[in-house]
Amino acid sequence: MREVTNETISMAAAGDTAAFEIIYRAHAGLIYNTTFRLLGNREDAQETTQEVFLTVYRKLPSFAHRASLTTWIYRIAVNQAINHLRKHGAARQQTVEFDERIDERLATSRVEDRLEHQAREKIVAGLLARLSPEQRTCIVLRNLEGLSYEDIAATLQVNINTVRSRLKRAREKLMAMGRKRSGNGL
Amino acid sequence: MDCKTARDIILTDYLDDGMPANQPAELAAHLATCAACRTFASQAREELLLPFDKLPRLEPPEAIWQAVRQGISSRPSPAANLLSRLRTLLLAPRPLLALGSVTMLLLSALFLTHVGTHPQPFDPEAQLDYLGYLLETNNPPNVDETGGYSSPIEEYFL
Repeated sequence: MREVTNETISMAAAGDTAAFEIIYRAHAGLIYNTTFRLLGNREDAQETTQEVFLTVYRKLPSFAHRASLTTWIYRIAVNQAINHLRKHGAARQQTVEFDERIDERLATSRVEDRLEHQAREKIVAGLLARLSPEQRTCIVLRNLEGLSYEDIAATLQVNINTVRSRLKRAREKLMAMGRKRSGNGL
Repeated sequence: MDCKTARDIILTDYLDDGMPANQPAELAAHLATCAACRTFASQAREELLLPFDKLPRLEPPEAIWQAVRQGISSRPSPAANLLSRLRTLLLAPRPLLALGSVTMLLLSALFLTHVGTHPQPFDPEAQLDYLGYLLETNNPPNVDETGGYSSPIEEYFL
């Protein structure tokens, strides 16, 4: 990820589009992937990512450097995605799409690899769809984005023990689902 | 370490490689003696970590940046926007703000007027003098016009 300096942030806050583009390019991948995993489809992820960066642009002058810029942008993204889920979730959560176009690079890969990848995508989408928005957010930030417990706590503005507890409950739920599928109780 | 504690650790710090210094040894000791927790640990890795491993990262479509750029170019710069909002907040006459100011002015005026006519602090001696004066004025001693008292008893005692 390209480093965003304080000078770039100040310039973007003053309305410099080129400076804001640097911020966008440095974070768009993180935000797009996070919102895609949280929302379960490309269209919503695209729409939410766009809204996130418009919000970032609008609020940049009030960014107080208390958290890192990345944590602050993650926070905006997660809040918007959770709001989106609460607003539209009930209908869409049940039909989390598995996007066959998910990675065009796979089009050239071996058929076995492609099938394995598609199966894995399906499993992940199915697992995430069964978690509450808060649990899903913790799993996405930890398992897919690789954030530490401290960074997740800063992003969600919760205690680190809350993060640990949400992860534990989410994983218990996922394991219970696995046991149900395999009929194996430990 | 009991099985519940061991499984709580497995589902969090163990899977996320975040165990505090003394925990790995304690957990390892438990896993060495508990076959059910050993199975739980390997199943947790398989079901909770493997599906998320090596998922490809998506490239955000360029259309997002185009839309964002279009969105921000049609707005004033964020700093100017913040200043304008502050200016609006401070300068624009708002009915509620105006009503509040007028109420405060009226209350202040009322308070100051009230303070001006407030009685002096209580002075017992002055009050007694005043009471004596009132009694003397309204109930003068029973004295006859010649300055003497009307009865011999009164004359004797008073």
